[in-house]
Amino acid sequence: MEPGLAVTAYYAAPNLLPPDGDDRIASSASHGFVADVAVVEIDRETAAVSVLDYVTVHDAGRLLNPLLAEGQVRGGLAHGAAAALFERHVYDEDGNLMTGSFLDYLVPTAPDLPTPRIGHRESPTPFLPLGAKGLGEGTTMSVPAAVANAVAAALGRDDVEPPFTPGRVWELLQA
Amino acid sequence: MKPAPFAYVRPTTLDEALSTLADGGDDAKLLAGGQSLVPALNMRVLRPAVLVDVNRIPDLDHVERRGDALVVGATARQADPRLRDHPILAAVLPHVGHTVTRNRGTVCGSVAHADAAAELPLALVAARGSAVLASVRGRREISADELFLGPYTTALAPDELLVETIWPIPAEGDAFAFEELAQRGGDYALCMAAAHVSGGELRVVVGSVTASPTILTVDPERPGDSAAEQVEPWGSIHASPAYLRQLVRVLVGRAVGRALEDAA
Amino acid sequence: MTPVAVTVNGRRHHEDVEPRLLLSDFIRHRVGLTGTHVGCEHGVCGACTVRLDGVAVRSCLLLAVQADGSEIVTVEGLAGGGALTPLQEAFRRRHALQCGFCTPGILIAAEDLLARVERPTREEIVDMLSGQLCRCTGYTAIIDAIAEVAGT
Repeated sequence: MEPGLAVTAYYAAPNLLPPDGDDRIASSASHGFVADVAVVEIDRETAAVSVLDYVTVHDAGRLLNPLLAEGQVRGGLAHGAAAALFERHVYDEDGNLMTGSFLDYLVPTAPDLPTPRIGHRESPTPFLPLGAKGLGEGTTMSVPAAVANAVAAALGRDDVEPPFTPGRVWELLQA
Repeated sequence: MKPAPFAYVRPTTLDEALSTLADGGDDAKLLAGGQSLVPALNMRVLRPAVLVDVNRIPDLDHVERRGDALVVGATARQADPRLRDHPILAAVLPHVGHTVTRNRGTVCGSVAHADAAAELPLALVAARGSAVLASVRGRREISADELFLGPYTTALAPDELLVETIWPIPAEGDAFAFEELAQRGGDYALCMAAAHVSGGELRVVVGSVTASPTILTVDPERPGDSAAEQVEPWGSIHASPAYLRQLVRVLVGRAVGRALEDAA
Repeated sequence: MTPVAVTVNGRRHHEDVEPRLLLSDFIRHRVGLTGTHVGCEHGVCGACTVRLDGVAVRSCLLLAVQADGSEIVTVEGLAGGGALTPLQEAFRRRHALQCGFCTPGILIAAEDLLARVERPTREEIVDMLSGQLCRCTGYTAIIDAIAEVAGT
């Protein structure tokens, strides 16, 4: 089937230029932004960390498909929460992987994840005709940082490292 | 991750199964629910020469009241609704695996497998229950207190099949409380504690932190602390022994508190 | 080699198999239905879940020989006559699948829950899902889709 009408156009983002004299480039025409707030509670007796509230706001420019955008935020949050609270590679002194099955490498399941409150700010980028900035794994990056900061605030110390499993938080509580 | 080769036998009577076990000795493994055995086969942690599938033997899946006890047959599934009539099983079964694995996994199989982190062996000890073992040499009943010898190790002889577990039914005024801490919903717990008040007597059992379900005699005034003083937890990649000792303190405290309150 | 006769999605299959052949591999390679996925082969991820004689089970934890004489329903057998089931339609509409790897197992497990529990609460749905791993969706859309069909 031949189309009755066809148009071809070209667009070059004004800020995607060849490398400059120092071999630097802008690798992206635009950048999205994420801002998160995590509220955590640590049980003093068991050292278990609960996420009481979680808010994440994205600015991905113009959202072209809100349903897919929401799916990305929630999926990214699952990965971010996994890194913050559950997943860890553990090797013994001889280099054997101790977490080689899903029994020990803990991928979060539905009951394990906080329910986020999600917001969007749409500030269309001036550099691209659609105004879209992109949204992918923002929460993968932001959730571990937000949770780590909340845990640090709860414990009153900065030298904390995810995942914040009960066993690891217990050791922090003893020090 | 596929199993090593084995011969497969599917007896249609219990006697046939027992003869096969007697002939096979250490090289034969029983297959009931398979939810613990088949992962071990897939990872080649176990490489039996013969697999004896007991799923098609009739009259092994009973869940029935006999006197003051609920008797559970070898192939009765963890999802069997009749099990929820027993308060201890009703409290513990929601923590055993997941909905889909409970469709296939068996109560007796989990008991015979004796994983130190499994809920059902601990529950049988807490319930003051027992197991009936069958072989070509006859049947014998063994108290849960004597059944579990260590991780994945029971008093079963290589040619014995755990044909029934017996769960005494709590009387009026009895109380049972179960606490566990797992990192994710449905995981094997880092620590489990059960408190059972029956006939005025308190039985406390802890699990996951030691080689097998361990009965502790606690001071009712300070149950958590007295329990923590008695255990030597083994550590794991997820938890240090000191942390597990703390969990014993907290979970025994909570379980005993709830049980004593419910019994009053 | 052992002969087995298995009905899959209403069609009978006769095959000779080694006893150690897993039901998941039988379904995928002998019957040719690759909708059932294999994620872990130790029963944790749930991607292999199928219906065996009316009950949802892990096909990676069953041997093909055990299914001799049984009736199996895989994800391919859920919809009939070219129309999606209400659950599949809710999944599509709510973006409850992204890569789709976990979806067949979750559909079978969810249908199993809906068949055995009258109107499962959101809590019961979430609890059932603890046995099914998903890496894409963060689970919320899946829970919403099942709750929609459950009417809760």
